[in-house]
Amino acid sequence: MKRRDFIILFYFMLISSVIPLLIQSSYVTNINYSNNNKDLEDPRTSKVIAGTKEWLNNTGFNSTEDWYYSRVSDESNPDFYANISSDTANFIVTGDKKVFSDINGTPSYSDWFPEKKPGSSIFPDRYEINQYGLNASHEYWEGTDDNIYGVRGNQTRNRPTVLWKRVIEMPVDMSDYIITSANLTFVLNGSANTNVETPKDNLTGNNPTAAEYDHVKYYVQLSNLEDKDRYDAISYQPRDLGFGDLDASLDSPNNGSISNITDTTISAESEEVLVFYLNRILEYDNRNFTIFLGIDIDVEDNYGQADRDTYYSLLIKTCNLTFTYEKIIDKYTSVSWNQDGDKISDLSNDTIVINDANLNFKYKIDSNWTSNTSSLNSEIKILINGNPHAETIKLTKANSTYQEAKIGGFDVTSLITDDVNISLQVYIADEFILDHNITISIDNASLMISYTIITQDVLVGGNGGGGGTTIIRGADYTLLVIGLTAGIIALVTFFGAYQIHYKYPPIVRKVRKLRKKIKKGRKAKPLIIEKRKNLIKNQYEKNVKILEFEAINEAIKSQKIDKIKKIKKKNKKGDI
Amino acid sequence: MPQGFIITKWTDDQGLIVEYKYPEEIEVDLDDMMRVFYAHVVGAGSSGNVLVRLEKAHSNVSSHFTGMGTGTPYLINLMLDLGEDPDMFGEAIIKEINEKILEFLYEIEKNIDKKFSIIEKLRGYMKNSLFLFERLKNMSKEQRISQIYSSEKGRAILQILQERARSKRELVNLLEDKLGKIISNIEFTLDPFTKTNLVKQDWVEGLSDVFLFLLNDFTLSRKPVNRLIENARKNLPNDFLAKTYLDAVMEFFSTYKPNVDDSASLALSMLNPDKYDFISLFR
Repeated sequence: MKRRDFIILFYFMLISSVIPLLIQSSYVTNINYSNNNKDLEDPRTSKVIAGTKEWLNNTGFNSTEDWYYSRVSDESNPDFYANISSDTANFIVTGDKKVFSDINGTPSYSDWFPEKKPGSSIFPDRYEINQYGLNASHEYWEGTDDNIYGVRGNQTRNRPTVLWKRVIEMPVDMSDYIITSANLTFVLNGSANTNVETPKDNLTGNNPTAAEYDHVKYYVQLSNLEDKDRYDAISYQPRDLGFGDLDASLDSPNNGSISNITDTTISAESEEVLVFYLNRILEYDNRNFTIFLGIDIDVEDNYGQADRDTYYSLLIKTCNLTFTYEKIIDKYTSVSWNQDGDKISDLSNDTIVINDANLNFKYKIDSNWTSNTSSLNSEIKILINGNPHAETIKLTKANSTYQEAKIGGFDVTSLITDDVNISLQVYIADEFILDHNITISIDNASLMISYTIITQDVLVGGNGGGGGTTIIRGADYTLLVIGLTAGIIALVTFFGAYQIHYKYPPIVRKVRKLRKKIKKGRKAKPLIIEKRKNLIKNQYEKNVKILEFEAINEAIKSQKIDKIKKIKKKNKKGDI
Repeated sequence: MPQGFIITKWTDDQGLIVEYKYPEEIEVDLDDMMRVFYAHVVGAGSSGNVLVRLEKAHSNVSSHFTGMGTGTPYLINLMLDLGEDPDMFGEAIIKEINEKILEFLYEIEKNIDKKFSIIEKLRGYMKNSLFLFERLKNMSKEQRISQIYSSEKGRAILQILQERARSKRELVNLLEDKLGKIISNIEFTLDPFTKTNLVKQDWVEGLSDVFLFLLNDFTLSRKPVNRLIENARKNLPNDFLAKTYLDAVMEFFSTYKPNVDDSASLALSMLNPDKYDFISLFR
């Protein structure tokens, strides 16, 4: 690691470990003061007032007072509503079941309108809605004169069809419903001449030939409004209509005999399939669908000579479509009874500690949830200030008599803040079908809160109340922390400096510094190098300096001796 | 540790004979002695020193030859262990010992009647020399520095490295040029330099040879002994002695100038363990 990186890392670690200490220490010395500013200067004793209170009003749901309901549901067709009646709060899950039976009996011209089948180009010679039903008549004649219906003979009118269409509008948005059962029948009859070549006939004439023979088909089709999906709900092709051999040469309208099929009731083969078709077509347009009653005529040119095939009457006498549909209850929907309680701080201006909060209520249901719904996860939830309590009550546990939501109540202490807004909620966790209302009732809701108010004691003789107050302050460690921190910083700085710099001898430090400068391309001060000779000389002179004193001493001594000698001489001469 | 001394001499009639040896038990292989003799006489046969490795005897021999031109050609062979080199003890010491032994030998020749007592003295000297070699293995740092200064080779190395750092090979070449003799094993010569931290050997990237860097330098000179002077000023041990000492010191240092010869002899004295002990006591 480079030296600089080491230094940066070291100081970062030091600061990050010390600063929290400093911050913490300063908090150690703080205390929570009460609202009364006087206490900052003047410590006193505190008084506690314990209490328990029923926090909810109108716990018996005597009226709608204090309670209001809310729901999360499709408001165009809500799955719930709620009310308070007979001293209970009710959550009503709104089921529904309806029956559609608008299509029944003989079709009326006011309801049904003819149109061609897609891809088809011609109507039958006759088609009408009369008092008997929907009728089609057609004669295929290859002669040059008119047929019995006044239509000039030709070889093109082989496949006439007619559809009668009716658009149905449902009374409700079917997206909220599902069709659970259905039934479709129609009654038909027909009459034709035996000049019709049925599969059972023997063909006699010039070049008799047949592929599909002459036949008709009665059918019912269901479609969505925009005709994106069209389903054949029922179809019927009578094999015997027109059965009877007739030589082709006998091609007058008077030839042959009448073949009938009497009233025949045809029903949809599979209810499931019919239900599927109906649900499907109502997915596109939740309100409307189309039903078609149709008659197809298919005649062949079976001979080399002129062929006449006469269908006198093809009648759809009646059509009945009924289906049952039930309400879908959406998942993730809910309905709640709510009360916005008093604030905790309304109790007092002093410090209030909530010791305990216990919620309970009674509940029941008017019909068995499990057997009536497939929703195992739906439940009653408790929310306080919008926060759900962990414990819930599954609706599968509810029965027809009142029972306590929880024996002993729910401990909701942790959810209590200054606000106390309660919601008792029925929550639908799964989608299911419901054909009738289910009501969940609650009563005797209770929220008991026990609390302690820590208040200032009132002085005796002053404003009344208790004695003096001592507020114990935490020891002030700030100075100690600062001192220790400074010491640690100094120690570490010293250690770091020693490790990085000072452990090297001065000359090595000098060389390192010089090397660094050279590396960085900076100008370096020239190193003063003493000549070897001079170094030795200086060192030697230093070592012999001790003798200089002696030399001086000797000089002084000899001067003194000379002085004394002079004095002695003078004395002898008697100068003194 | 040196095994001992073997003194041989060349005679015209008997060839190489063993004159004296110490210790007496030391084994002498005449073939090995001849090998040493040949090492000396190859070429001019002049006097000099050689170092010969004897595999059979498991010894190194540091041999001094007086030369064929002298009256009696003597060989003074110091038998060393295989891992030893005369430079370990300092060439000056060995030279001094060789010279002293030769003095004894010449004295024997001159005073044949006193031969026995002189031989005894010679044996005693050789014994003390071996003891000295033993003591020289445990030199102090000062003594090792003195060892460097006492030898011509050491002073030459110091001078060369004072100029600038040199590679080992370069140093050997310069030494051989300067001293005019082959340097066989530079490692032993550099040993006191590295032990006293005067020289550091290091390898410079990109170059094959190891470089020698002079980290510290030194010089030897005389200086007054502060403690003794201070005591003398206090008239210790007595007035007369103190005065006499101070006068002598003053007189000496008034004319004294440090020089190489004096410092070399000083170094030799420092190397001598007995003298060094006294010097240390005085300081």
